Amino acid sequence: MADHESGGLPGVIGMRTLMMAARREAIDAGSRDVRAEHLLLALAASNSPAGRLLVDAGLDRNALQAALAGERERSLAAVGMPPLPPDRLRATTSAGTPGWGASARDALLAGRRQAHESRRSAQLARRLEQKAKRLDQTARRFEESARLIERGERPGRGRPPHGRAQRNEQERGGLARPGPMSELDLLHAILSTELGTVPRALALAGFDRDALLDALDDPDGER
Amino acid sequence: MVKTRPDPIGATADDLAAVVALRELADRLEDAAVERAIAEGWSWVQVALALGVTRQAVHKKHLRRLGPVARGLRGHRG
Repeated sequence: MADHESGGLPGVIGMRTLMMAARREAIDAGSRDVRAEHLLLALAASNSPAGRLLVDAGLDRNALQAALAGERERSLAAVGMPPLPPDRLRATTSAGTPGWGASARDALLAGRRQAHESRRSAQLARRLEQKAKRLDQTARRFEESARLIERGERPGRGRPPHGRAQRNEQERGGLARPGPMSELDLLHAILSTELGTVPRALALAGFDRDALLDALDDPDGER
Repeated sequence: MVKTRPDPIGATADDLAAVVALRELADRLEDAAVERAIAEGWSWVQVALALGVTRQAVHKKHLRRLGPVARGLRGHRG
């Protein structure tokens, strides 16, 4: 379903679907606001590269939920509060639609920055590649000329007549613009957060945030 | 001043996280307890008194989701 919906504009529609899933997670958890952990739960359950990366690291939705429950229990135990029996907390309906909490807002903003950054480094890589290709062409032309001179012929014929115009066209990639962020950008933003519920839950459950971030930055990890 | 890099699972972080967990617990317990009270026939005024807040505050937070429960009760009594 998500794949069908995201046809054409994966960044935008995919993110909208994900945000709706995160809101659903918040409602199911009886939470008054959508927080970073709900975005992370939605990511883990999503059929996306980010979801697969989490599952591969052993962090499927269930594992993540267990980690979050463990964090809550430990935090309450820190002030001597034993866990309440679930039926004391059971409400048939939640109080309205949860709004967007600070941690979720921060994650979405940082995700957009991350998208901007990865786009810029992709452009830089593309430009460097083009430059290398041009240098390679120049080197080949020189070799060709050298060969001609060696054979006693006059070089300077087969030179492309409008090399410069062509080059400008290629280089006009423009500045990186803030565009739609992907699930990977959002995951990067959430995992980069050093304090709060998510890093606590991951650390307490024995998941290495840095290793996850490394897997995210590894180009081979992008599927 | 030296910038510290706080441990996310240190004692101080535990206390701060406890605040978060207690707030969430309070919210969920309020939802559950108010619902139980209304279902048992408490009036909104009584719930407000028990919570130590105004009736308007209780209404604002819970009327929409528990309205049907309360109306159902009134219907029962005729």
